[in-house]
Amino acid sequence: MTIELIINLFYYYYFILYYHFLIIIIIIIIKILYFKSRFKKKAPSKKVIAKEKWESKLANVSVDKKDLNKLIMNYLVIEGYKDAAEKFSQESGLQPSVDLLYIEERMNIRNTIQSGNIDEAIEKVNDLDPEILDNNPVLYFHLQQQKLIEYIKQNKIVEAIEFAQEELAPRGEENPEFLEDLEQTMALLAFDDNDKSPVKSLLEHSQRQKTASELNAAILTSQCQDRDPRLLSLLKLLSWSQDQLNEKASFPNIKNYVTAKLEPTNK
Amino acid sequence: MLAGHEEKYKQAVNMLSSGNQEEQIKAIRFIKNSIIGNITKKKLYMNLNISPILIKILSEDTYSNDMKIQSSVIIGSIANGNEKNIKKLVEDGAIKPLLDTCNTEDPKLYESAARALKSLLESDKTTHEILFEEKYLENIISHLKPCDFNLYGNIAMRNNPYRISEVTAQLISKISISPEEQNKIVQHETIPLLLNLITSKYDFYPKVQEAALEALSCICKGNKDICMNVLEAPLEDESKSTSKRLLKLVHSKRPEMKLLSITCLTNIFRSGITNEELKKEVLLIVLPVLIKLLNPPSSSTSLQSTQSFSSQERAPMIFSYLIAEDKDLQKAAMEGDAISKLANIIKMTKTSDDDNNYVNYIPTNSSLHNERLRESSLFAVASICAYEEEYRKNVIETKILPIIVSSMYHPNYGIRMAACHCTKSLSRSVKTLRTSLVDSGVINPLLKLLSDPDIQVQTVACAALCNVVLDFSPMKKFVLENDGVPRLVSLVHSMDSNLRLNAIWALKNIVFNAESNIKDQIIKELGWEQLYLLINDEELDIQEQAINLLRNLACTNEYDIEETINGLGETRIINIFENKLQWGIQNTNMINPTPKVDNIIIQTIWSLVNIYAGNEKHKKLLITDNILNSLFQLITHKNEIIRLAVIWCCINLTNPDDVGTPERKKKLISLQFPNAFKMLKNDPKIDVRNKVREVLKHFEEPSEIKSYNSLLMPLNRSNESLLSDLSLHNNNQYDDEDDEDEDEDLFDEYLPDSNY
Repeated sequence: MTIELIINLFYYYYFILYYHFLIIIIIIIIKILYFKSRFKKKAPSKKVIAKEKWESKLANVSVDKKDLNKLIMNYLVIEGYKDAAEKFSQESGLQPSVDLLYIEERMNIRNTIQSGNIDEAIEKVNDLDPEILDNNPVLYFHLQQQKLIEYIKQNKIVEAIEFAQEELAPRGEENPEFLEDLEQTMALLAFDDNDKSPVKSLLEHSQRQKTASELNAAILTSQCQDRDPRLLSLLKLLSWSQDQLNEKASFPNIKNYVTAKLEPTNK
Repeated sequence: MLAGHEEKYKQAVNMLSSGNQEEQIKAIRFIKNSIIGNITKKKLYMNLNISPILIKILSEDTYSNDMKIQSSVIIGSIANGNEKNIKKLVEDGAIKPLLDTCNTEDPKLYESAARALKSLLESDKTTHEILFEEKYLENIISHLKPCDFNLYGNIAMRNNPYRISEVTAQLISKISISPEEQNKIVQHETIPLLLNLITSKYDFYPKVQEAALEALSCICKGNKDICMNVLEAPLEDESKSTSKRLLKLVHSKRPEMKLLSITCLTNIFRSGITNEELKKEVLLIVLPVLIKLLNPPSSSTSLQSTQSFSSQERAPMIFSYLIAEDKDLQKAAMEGDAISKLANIIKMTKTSDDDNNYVNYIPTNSSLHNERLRESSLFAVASICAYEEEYRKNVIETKILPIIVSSMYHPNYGIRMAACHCTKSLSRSVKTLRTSLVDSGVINPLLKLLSDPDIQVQTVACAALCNVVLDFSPMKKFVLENDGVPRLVSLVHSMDSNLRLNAIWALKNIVFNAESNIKDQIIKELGWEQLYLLINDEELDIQEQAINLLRNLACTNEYDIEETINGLGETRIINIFENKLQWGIQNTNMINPTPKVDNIIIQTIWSLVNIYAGNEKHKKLLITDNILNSLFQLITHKNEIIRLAVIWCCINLTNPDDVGTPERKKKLISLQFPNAFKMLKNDPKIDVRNKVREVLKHFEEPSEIKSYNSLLMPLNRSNESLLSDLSLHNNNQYDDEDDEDEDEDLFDEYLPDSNY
């Protein structure tokens, strides 16, 4: 077993508990909110719910294990933990929503961009699905822009200028809205010392990550996957529903989303 | 400028023909990766004449499957959305080798070849008869059945079974156009295979469900039998029935899925099947969801893929098709605020080019999206306000009229046509004709569009003009003074029967209640000879309008009647009436008489009524035995307008004050007319009962009724709403049943195509 797999396995056992907990809290809060809204006029004072009572309420809620498993699979697939997803699939008997080899390939493409090898990434994505780049001019432009940035990083100025003329200028003609990005990138060439360049952020690793995520999102979309794991929206829902209930009652909140620890009720 | 770079691409093309297989595959992969997403490179390689080489790779067995896959991918990518490239590839003969390639055992090769075919068929100019050859069609349809995963090879060689079904369904969408094609396609178990793909089994693969929905909607469009089959076919799904499953998919969170299931339900709904439950579901579920999909183009376009663009563009088109013929749906759409949503989309597409009538307009990628949005939204507006005055008022209040007018100058013919449809719908209202439409200056571009290079635009412009030239409209004068008549007359000679019909319709409306000098002007342009030809046109609709024109010409005064008789010539005019009436009686007795026959009889008799209002000579000319015999047979016709018109004929022939009345009465009595009229005394229609009483009085003793009749007489001759015909369609003031039917026919022909 690789170290990565051990970490991943830890992740998903942790997630089973974590997800379970979050969902139960959301369900309870929504129930209370619903109940409160029906008796709005009669209950002007803020209700106080002690931690013990809250925990006993939580214990009474049951969540279908299958739904929980789906959520975990969703997280593993979208975040690209292929080995963990495979293992999880075996243990839970749940079919992943996508051929697992595609996860690996998607991660592979993502890493290729992050290591600055744009041409190779383009080849790989075209092998995966030739329609992704053909129908997505914005993404294709950003990949070419990244390639230009890589040339500049490597100080290949002649290549950079030729590439800009040959590949990027026609994109600008087709889509005038690309011109601003193109100009900013070309501005990199104007400064000898990149630290002083106002557009130096383009040279940073975060720019590669940005391009990589955009491509990753496009691949996910082409496979009809969500762009973000459902966990993210679940956390947003938790935060929103806690805020809603806080207006009407005092109850043990979760403030730290990593540990998901229930804080004692404020009185 | 790029001469130096071009060398390397030339070299790659040359390498394709090298003997070394490794070099070949390297070259073809290089070419593939440089053209995908890159419009300039596609053009460059096409200029290097790569197309025959790609086709050769597909056709010859010496090339490996991998080479063939790469070659298909390149063809598909070069064709992707580019009419010019598609044309060249098809001319070079790409279709047949691709179809032969589809017979492969290699799923990956099938997928890429089918994808390339789909791209080529994206253009409606690509002919696709060859796909219907048995050896090809059966093979293609069999791929709708998902096969098991085959987990071999690297990712490039791997295939996803659902993607094969997906591309196959997309291919079927492209070739299911005419009813014959639809019927041929469903012979191969296509319906169950497609229905299987939309079940919840494939919920993880929405793209295959979407492709299947699109194919289903294409085979259903306008094909009642297939729609029945689709609705009744068993479904292995918890929803049990197809319509329940489709309604479930309407609530999908993917806009594309929503729209496609709506399209499917719309096409089934509009196919002419009667299903009360379906209607209720369309009204309560489908329409509200569809209205929510009518969204203006979002300002943050950067991350949007072309797919959601296209669903934005299609939504108004489908909306327009769904509500086009159904007043309940139009009402629900209006109440659902569809008009203001559509108006918002149209306003969002407004640019500075609208202010200078598109003189220096250069389309870009994003403006193409706006163009399609505007076109489909204008169509939708035209549909929603086709029948109801109140909705027209709502449309005018959204202040989109100036954009409708400037759209008539748009270089894109679809937008010009859609703008004409809007004008046509709006001009059905007398109020807008007198005010807003006049102020908008719509008449200028409308007249110009009569000479449009596109025949469909001409046809719709002409249809809109029909309403604009009506008597009370100030725009009639403008048309007469700006060469409108010669333009319309030139369209009467068109080979296209729809255009001919609309042109003669417009002329007829101009002549309605017109001064003699206007009639003279028109007949001078048209010529009596041409009118005679039109009266005997091969299209019944055109005959009807031409006879209606004759009726309007021979109206109001003796001079006009005289001119008409002299113009056509006595023998010919007798011929017209004798033949048309006789033809009408013969065709009424057939098993399936069409309303068109009734309409021709009606116009013919009203023309007679008008001429019988003339002097003694005119009357005498047209009371031949044949004509009177025919009229006698029509007294008891099941159509009350015909019965009424015959009574009017006799009233005009027996006016007590007119010269020659006693002789004509004698003749009519000898032919048993009064006895026949007595049978109508208890007619179900009150108009008929009233008029028959009047005509029977004419046959009583002249001395008793003389004074009474002198009061009635002027009424007989000047009651224009009966004597000549006005076709302002679907307007409450002039709501005349038979005209409404005609109009629905007319409107039907311009309904947008949801495949579009």
